[in-house]
Amino acid sequence: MTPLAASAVAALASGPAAVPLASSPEYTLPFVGPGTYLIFGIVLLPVYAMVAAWFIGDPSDRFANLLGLGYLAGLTTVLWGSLFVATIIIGVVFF
Amino acid sequence: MSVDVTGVDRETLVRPIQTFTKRYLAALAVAFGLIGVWLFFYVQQLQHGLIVTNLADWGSGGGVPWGLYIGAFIWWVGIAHGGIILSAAVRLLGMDTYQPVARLAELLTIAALTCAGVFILIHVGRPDRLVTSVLPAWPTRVQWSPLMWDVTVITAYFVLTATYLALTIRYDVHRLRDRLPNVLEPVYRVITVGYTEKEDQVVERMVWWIAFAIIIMAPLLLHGGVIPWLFSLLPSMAGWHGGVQGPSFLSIALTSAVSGIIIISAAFRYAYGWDELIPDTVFQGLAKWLGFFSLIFLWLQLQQVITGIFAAPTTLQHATEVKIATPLYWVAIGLVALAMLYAFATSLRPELYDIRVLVGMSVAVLFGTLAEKVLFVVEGLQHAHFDLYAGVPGAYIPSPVEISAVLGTVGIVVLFFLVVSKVIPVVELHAIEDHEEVDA
Amino acid sequence: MSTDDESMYATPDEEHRRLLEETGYDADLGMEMARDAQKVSAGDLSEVEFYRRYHDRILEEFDVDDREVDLPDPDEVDSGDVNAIDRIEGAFEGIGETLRGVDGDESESRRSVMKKGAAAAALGLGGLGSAGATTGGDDGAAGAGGGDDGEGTRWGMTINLNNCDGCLACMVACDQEHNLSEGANWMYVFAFEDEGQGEQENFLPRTCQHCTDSPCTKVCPVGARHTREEDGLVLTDYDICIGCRYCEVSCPYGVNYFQWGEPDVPESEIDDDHQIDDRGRWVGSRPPEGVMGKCTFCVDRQDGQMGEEKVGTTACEEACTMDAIHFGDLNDPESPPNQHLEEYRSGQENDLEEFPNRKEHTVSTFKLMEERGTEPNVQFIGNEPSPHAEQVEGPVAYEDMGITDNRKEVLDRGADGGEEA
Repeated sequence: MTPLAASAVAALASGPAAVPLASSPEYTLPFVGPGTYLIFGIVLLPVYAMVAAWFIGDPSDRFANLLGLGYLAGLTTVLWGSLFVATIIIGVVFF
Repeated sequence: MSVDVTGVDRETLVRPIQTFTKRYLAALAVAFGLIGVWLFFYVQQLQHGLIVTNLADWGSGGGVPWGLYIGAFIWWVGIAHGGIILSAAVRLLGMDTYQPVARLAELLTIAALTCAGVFILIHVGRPDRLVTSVLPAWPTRVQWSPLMWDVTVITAYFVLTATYLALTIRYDVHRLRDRLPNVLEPVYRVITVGYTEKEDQVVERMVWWIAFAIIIMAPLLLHGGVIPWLFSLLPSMAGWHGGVQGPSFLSIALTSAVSGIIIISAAFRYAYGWDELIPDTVFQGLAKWLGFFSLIFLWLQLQQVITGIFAAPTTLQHATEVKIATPLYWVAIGLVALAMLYAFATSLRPELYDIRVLVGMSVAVLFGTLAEKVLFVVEGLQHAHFDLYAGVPGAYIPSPVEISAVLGTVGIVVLFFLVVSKVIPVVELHAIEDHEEVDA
Repeated sequence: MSTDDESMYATPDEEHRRLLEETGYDADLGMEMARDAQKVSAGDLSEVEFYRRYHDRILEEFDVDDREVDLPDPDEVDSGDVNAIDRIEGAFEGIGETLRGVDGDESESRRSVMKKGAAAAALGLGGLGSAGATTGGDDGAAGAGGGDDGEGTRWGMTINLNNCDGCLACMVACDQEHNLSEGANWMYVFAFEDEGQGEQENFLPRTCQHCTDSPCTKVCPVGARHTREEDGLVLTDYDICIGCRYCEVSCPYGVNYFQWGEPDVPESEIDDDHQIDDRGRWVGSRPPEGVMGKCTFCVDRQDGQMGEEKVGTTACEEACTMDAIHFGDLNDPESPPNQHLEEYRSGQENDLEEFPNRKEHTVSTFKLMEERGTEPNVQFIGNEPSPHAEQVEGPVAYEDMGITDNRKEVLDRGADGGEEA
């Protein structure tokens, strides 16, 4: 109990001192590394804006919007799915 | 400046789909040949491991663990930027002059990104784990690994570009359906699923936003971001460090992208007699872009050289000195400089313009940018901050296995265009028919 | 990150208050100090001010205030404000010990000292340096000679370059113990000459530095390269690694050796005890084809799979007859690396009578490329190679020991004549 409490205080206390962008031993926790802010906060912003604009702006069409979303999701799946198949084949034949 | 190509008829547009020539077959054979050569070597790599390459461990091993594969990966991603440059020019900036080559550029993006993906696959020691290791790790590793950022952004780039194409192609396929081969009817039915002419305006707006998203994400955050960060964030290698890598990578990407568009567009113009559809104005305009991007490329190289030799930390100074003592570096710089001079010369004296010379210059630029990228990767690795190893710098000359992969991916791009141009119109109907007609 | 915004600093909760109260000392004081210690840590409050603010109340409560505000010996502690907290914590511990009359029972591990809860405030402060340390390592204790910081085990080494004679026995032992392929020198011994040293040879045995803040674990896209929580070992999970070699290019020390082809020793000849660690992950012995390998600090030994007597030893340490390599728990002041450093230092005292401002000893210690911020867990006694140092042939040739220096030569032979040969 005591060591647990100690590390809990420690975790609390270390908040301001730890700059996750530079270095941090807490890297196994989710949402601490620079990628969290970079990918979800900056890089994907234009994509959020795009999808939001599809639905909010005018002229807008429900079918076309959903088709667009379907393409986004579907193409991602196809891309990784086909890569998966390729890797499985390579794995079976060569490894 | 803008040349009206609206007089060109629909027959011309679908000419690639309706013809089937010996030259086409020859091109197909060349593509398969290139891919075949690569597959022959790649099977050896799969059988024996990466030992068949000339890669090795840095450190006591005196080699480079990253080489042509990674250089070529970056190079292809750079070429892929052609699509967004042209789409942005047309959709966002209203530069309709480039409408005839916009879709070719978008297709080049898809093909080039595929090649980049191929290089990831063949670069790793365990390609069979590329999905089973990467996907489960994504939620936790994307927080940290620049390689995971890279995978994420390239996936997004690919998907956005493909979505853009998938949405814009519906308009053309629907209107040109009577000129398209019946044997591919199921394909066209899928492509145009649920299409009504009412959606045109909506889709036009949607793709404007896709172009907007890509123009921010791809050049700035992909090639000016996560790819240079793969290197510049590391504490190990002097030659890779520094914030200038972002702009520098981007300038190389844009330079090679324009070159790629010029080559592909000229090839189609030549093969299908599209002198009217893709007029000289397009190429003269692209030449100016090539000159401008080359200028920025050279300027950023100057930045790196001058900051690297004047009073740099010893390891960076050493890396820079070796870089400027490498003949291949100056070949790369020279080729880009030559293209720049030619591009600017043709704007001053239009009589100097010759599409064959321009294509030659573009090929030279692509060779130069590939050389620069490989040098960046390899020489970066040979000048570690920790320089006690006698074996470092070692020597690295790409093996036939590695070189064959570059040829193989070129083959993939050729094959891709040969196949796609038989299925869908590779030039938008918008290019030959007024937008009023479109929007009506 | 520095700001005056009070809300940035976490307030210890009731649970911690209760713990503080159980100690019988002023809980309010502990809570306030814990809070201000965070400010010191963040650089918003100077140590001197921190000292001044609580001096009277500490005297009142404990009768002594032996918190130290002196700037530390640069060799003793890293620069960086995290260490401020370590020192405060050390001071608190000191108070507790003074009060208890526990006088320097050095065999008592830090953890057990902490369990006694003499000054429970120290609990709150004590972990500051190792907050959330899933690595099991403690970044606050990264300084050479820091022997009593951090929790749990943190395997590391003290390598005394003054003792090394370049015999390469450690390389051979490592090679054999881990069934390494030719040229994959997980342990590598440099012989080098440096500026102004004439022809005199120096040696530098180089293992993996098992960095607390290791770049390789950060960049790994799949989490194969990871830091083991229980003891800070930096390991590669051979089952997950995709062989992208990003760890290798990110490592400032060049300690990684990829398995470019078929390993020299087939899997069938290696026991699972060598390969599978106590968590059931495949991290030990040589890597299979297509994945990355490097020094594991003999993870199989540390897990007791080679017998209890091998825990806390490595193959290279065992093979070293020159007393150069000292492996052990850096968090344990009694461990061989800490003990050796202490003994070595006490044998080389400085003339403090004439020069009272000098540090107590004349021993030079360093960590490789510490300025890269990797916080290595290998410390060296001796002179750090300068930027002008050059590797030279040592007294014992690699070939004579049956090992290969430059692996490129092996790899260039290709798949057929290569790794099996």
